[in-house]
Amino acid sequence: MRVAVIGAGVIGLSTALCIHEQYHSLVPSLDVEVYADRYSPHTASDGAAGLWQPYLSDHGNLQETLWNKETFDYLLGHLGSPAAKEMGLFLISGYNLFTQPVPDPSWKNIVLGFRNLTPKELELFPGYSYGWFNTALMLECRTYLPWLTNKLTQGGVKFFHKKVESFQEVSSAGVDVVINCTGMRAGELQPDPELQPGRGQVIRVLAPWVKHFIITHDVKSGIYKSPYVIPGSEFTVLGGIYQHGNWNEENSAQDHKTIWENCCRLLPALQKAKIIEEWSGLRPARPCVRLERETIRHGHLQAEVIHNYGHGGFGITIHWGCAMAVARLVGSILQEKKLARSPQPRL
Amino acid sequence: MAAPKVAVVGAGVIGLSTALCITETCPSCSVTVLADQFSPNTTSDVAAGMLIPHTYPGTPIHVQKQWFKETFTYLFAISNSAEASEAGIHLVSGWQVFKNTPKEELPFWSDVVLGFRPMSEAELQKFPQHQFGQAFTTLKCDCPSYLLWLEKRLKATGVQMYTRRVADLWDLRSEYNIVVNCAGIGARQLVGDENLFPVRGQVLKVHAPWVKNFIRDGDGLTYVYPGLPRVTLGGTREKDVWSLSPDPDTTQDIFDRCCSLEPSLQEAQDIKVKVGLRPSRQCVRLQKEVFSQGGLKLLVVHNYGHGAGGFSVHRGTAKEAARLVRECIATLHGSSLRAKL
Repeated sequence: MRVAVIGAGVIGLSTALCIHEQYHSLVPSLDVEVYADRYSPHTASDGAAGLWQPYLSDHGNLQETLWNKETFDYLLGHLGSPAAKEMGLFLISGYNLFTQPVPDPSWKNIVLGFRNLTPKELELFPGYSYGWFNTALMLECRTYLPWLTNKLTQGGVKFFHKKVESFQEVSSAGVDVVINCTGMRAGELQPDPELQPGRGQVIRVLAPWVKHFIITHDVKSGIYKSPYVIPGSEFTVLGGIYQHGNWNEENSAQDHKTIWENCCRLLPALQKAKIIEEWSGLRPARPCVRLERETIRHGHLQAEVIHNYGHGGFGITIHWGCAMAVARLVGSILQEKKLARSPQPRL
Repeated sequence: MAAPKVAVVGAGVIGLSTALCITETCPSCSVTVLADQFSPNTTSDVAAGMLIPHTYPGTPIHVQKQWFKETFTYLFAISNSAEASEAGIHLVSGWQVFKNTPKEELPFWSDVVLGFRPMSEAELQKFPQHQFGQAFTTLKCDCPSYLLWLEKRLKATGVQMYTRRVADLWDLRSEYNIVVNCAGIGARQLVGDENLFPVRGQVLKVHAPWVKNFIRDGDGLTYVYPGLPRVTLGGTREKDVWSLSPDPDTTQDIFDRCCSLEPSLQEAQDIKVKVGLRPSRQCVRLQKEVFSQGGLKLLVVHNYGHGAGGFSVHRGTAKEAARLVRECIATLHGSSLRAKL
């Protein structure tokens, strides 16, 4: 049975790996392939700082909160292993800052050591009167994606560098299940007006003295429109841009100024930081993640498509939970085709 | 009388910060720093520079707490300013973990550091060999950067610094009115203080930039301190050992102990080994002394013996030493007045 994953960002590659890990020994005939026109370091995932942190509110979407938790627990379990460094995975502590008290987030018990900030800590951040401290995880895609690719290659998964123009293109070539992890450009395969770009821009600097993430929030403006500083293993990411509906992937000088001034006001020490590079990308934003199965018919051909896109600015945060959900759907398909050796796939 | 001439002997964190405090509190003084070693060859350069106090058995707790608080407040302000990167001061969060729950669950400094609280069960799961822990945020000095920054500020105020091995404080009497003894472990020989003894510490400085949190075993022997940009792995506390040569077996032992606290350190690169001798004493010697020979006098202020806690209390003891220098100046002034009468 042939499974084709379209898209090689964090969603595509992790979904491919999850499917491969769960079924390759159960289904000897299973062939997993990855198709993408952009690979690391040219995917949207590569631009992300890599901090595990969901949005402030889950808007009652418990499914997504569960997927976030599954991802965190999965990554936390890998922390003590030798693979952690090769995955680009490490612990990081930091601050979320507000200008007014806010309710605790859905993820307060998922992260480690969540608490409110003390008055002395708030002195560090003039203009902010309320905040949280917690320990979370960083997963740097510039390292994680190559690690995923390596594991997939070792497992015999084939990679194709091409832009898939339609589901039919892939299904008519004999693929049984298509996993649609096309992120921002899912609309090109099947129109989806709910999928819109949330354009972001970041500046990467050298600031090794920054050991904490600092995310500010302006509850009125919305997520990622307020400055944030996230230290990685090599560079520190400065950001604070979210432009709904803007498809432009070019860096904007105005946005650079906004990010730089706001972040330096937040952390005066950044004025001495050396700027290394600038990057823009499009968060594949959607009111909720589209993760569902669809049967696509074309003439007498039929293919199963499993959609897994629309993860906005929380792709890394939610990726493994979604990958496992897709794998379960693949399991149902295998059941239907009576291809699995044992009645239930190992989770 | 002419501007008092003050010599500060020693250019580690204590000597340089004391010299700086003296220029701040006695702007009319002429201050000179004399040392046989400057950064990067002082004991301070080896230290991790974490603001976690060491308890001195011979000093009242409220005094130690005052010193720590002054130091913390001073560095907190720098860490929050544009100077932070040059001074090498940054905030760092992490955990102090204990194999056995300590008798004293709240150390005297728990309300000086930020966000101090016991670790949650979930956090403790990361440390299977440890039963109890404390999470907090504190400050760290990148010692070589901080010393250079202090030197720069001293030069800006006109302080001269000379490489000179002072064998006897009395030798300075003809050139200086007041001598401040910040010789650290050198004070053993310089003033013959048998109460001062080395506690040898070997550390590894490694490249592991993904380590963002500190981890310290409550026994004080094993610690992982992320820095700028190297991570300090420690350590040892060898009383009365004077050797400055790195010991390879010790290196392996430190590495193993730190990897058991933080497994990802197995991937650490470019391991550099350093050794320092903590200038240890029951209590910090922070007092005035008058040296007399013939009819001649030399006013001395001692500020040494900070052991494992130098960085944690340096500004507090420097301020106290500067206050003692002011008292000495008043004494000199009084004597010169009396001489006129």
